[in-house]
Amino acid sequence: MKVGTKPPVEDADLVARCRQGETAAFGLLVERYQDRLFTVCYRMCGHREDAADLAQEAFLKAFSSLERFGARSQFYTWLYRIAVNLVIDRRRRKPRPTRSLGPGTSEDADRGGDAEPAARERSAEAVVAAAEDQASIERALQSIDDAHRAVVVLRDVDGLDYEQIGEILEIPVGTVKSRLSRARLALREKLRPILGEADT
Amino acid sequence: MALTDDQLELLSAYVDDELNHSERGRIERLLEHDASARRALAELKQTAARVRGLPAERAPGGMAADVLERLARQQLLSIEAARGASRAGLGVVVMRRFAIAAGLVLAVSAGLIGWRATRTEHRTADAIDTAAGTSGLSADDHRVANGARRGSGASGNATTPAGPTGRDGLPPMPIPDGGGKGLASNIPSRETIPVANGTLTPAQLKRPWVQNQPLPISSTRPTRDRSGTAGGATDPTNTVVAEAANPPALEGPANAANAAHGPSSQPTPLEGQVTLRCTMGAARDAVLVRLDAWSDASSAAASRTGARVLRLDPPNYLVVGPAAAVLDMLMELRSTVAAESAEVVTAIDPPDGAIAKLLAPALPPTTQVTPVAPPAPATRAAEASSPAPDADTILSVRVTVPADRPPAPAP
Repeated sequence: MKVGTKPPVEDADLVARCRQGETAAFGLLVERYQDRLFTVCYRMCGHREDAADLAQEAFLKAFSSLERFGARSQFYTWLYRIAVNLVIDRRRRKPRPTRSLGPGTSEDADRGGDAEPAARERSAEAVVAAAEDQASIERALQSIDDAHRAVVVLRDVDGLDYEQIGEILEIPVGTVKSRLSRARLALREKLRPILGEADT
Repeated sequence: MALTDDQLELLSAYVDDELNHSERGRIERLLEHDASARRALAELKQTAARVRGLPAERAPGGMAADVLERLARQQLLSIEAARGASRAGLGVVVMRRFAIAAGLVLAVSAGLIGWRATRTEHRTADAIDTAAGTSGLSADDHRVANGARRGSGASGNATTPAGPTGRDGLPPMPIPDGGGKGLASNIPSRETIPVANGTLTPAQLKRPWVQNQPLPISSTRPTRDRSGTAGGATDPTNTVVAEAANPPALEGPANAANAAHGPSSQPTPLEGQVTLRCTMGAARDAVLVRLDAWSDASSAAASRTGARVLRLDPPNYLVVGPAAAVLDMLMELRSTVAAESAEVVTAIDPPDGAIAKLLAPALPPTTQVTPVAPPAPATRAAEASSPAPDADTILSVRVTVPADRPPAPAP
């Protein structure tokens, strides 16, 4: 028999199957969104362990709230809303000092296998410089307030459009626009030492 | 000239191509003759590009499995909470809810396996066989986990796990040969308890399943002989048997069924004991038990009966094994151990001892779970030719001996 790839199942179908008690379908949803959700949580909270915990919490909460999930929303925007709220709530309740998260830190040393092959071929200096740049960007990201960081992460890290971001954060698109502008201006100021002269 | 907030917002949105036609025209006219606007745009682009350049992260391996496992554990905790409420006097109604929560535990556990198989199915057309090969499960096992196969229980011959002591310090408990003896394989299964097939929904979790299917309550308890079989004829309906110090006068079909059990079904009221029993009219051969206490006597009972003890979050234990072995163990606990409480929270239908396989992903990685081997053809034939000794499946049982009751001498 010829092996072929089946077309992906729509989120709505998987959600419907979950509601009918097919727990395995929820595993597929987790698998589908775990990397994106983890990345968003990580960029939001700045700690890998917390991000993993928060992403799991978001999935658990989503499962237990499936009955309340409205069909008008996309599953992932609803899931992101849960996750972002969890991150913000966690940071309010349990503020943690921000650590440098760039390559070269102990956290990233543990996942050396994930490095791109091209990165390994770079000179040591370039790797160190790139790591410092990344750490600077991450520190800058962590230094702005949660509301602004959420918009930047959802837009520039996850690539969502303004309408989706507004739906997740439950704010008008105009507010998304203004927060994103202010967040980028704040980041620009913090990153000025490494950004150099912008090419106009 | 300094740019206004409005202009900066438009520039930022211009970076993202999120402007409408008129806004775009407006900002492009500004960019044509305002150098500061062009510089601001370049900086906004540069800043956005830097953030976008952050590497995409990968979730820790096994997150989906972890999530499903945590769902299962959450339900176990809800069982514990319900147990506490039961002790406060909520009684049988709460016990019924135990069954719901317990069912979800198994539904989730089954879902974990089901997810793995389903995930694989979604990847390639013939991936079930591949998954079976890599996981050690047969392709049919995966289909069972997805609810594709219906229960027709078979007795479990046994394999004996050998291995190091688990992290909880408990020795691995063997699942003996013939542990499932007496649990008939020739009783047609019925699709009456959705939890057994992993079809319990979140909505169902919040309401007693007995609402959908009223369960008659009896004040008698069929006893089990030492071979692990329960006396009694097959009851084609789901039945709950509740026992209490002062059993209420309840009537229902179960009374008639239990009346047919003969001498072995004499009411044996025990002070302070509440037993909830659900018969499903389908043969099962493995039971998942939750204990809230453990002792040397418990270990001895488990060892004698062949039940396998696994520890989840202390002090919660799961006892897995052929139904007869686990229920024997409960009987031993009841007769030998004071202040011991045990609860069979659910049973599932593993035609070939698949409960161990189903549970394995939901248990700590240090836990050893050994599947029960399918019965030899001769055994199966012998069982098929004999009257059904036990068509009942214990879906939910709770055995509690009051603390002030002196322990009976061990047999």
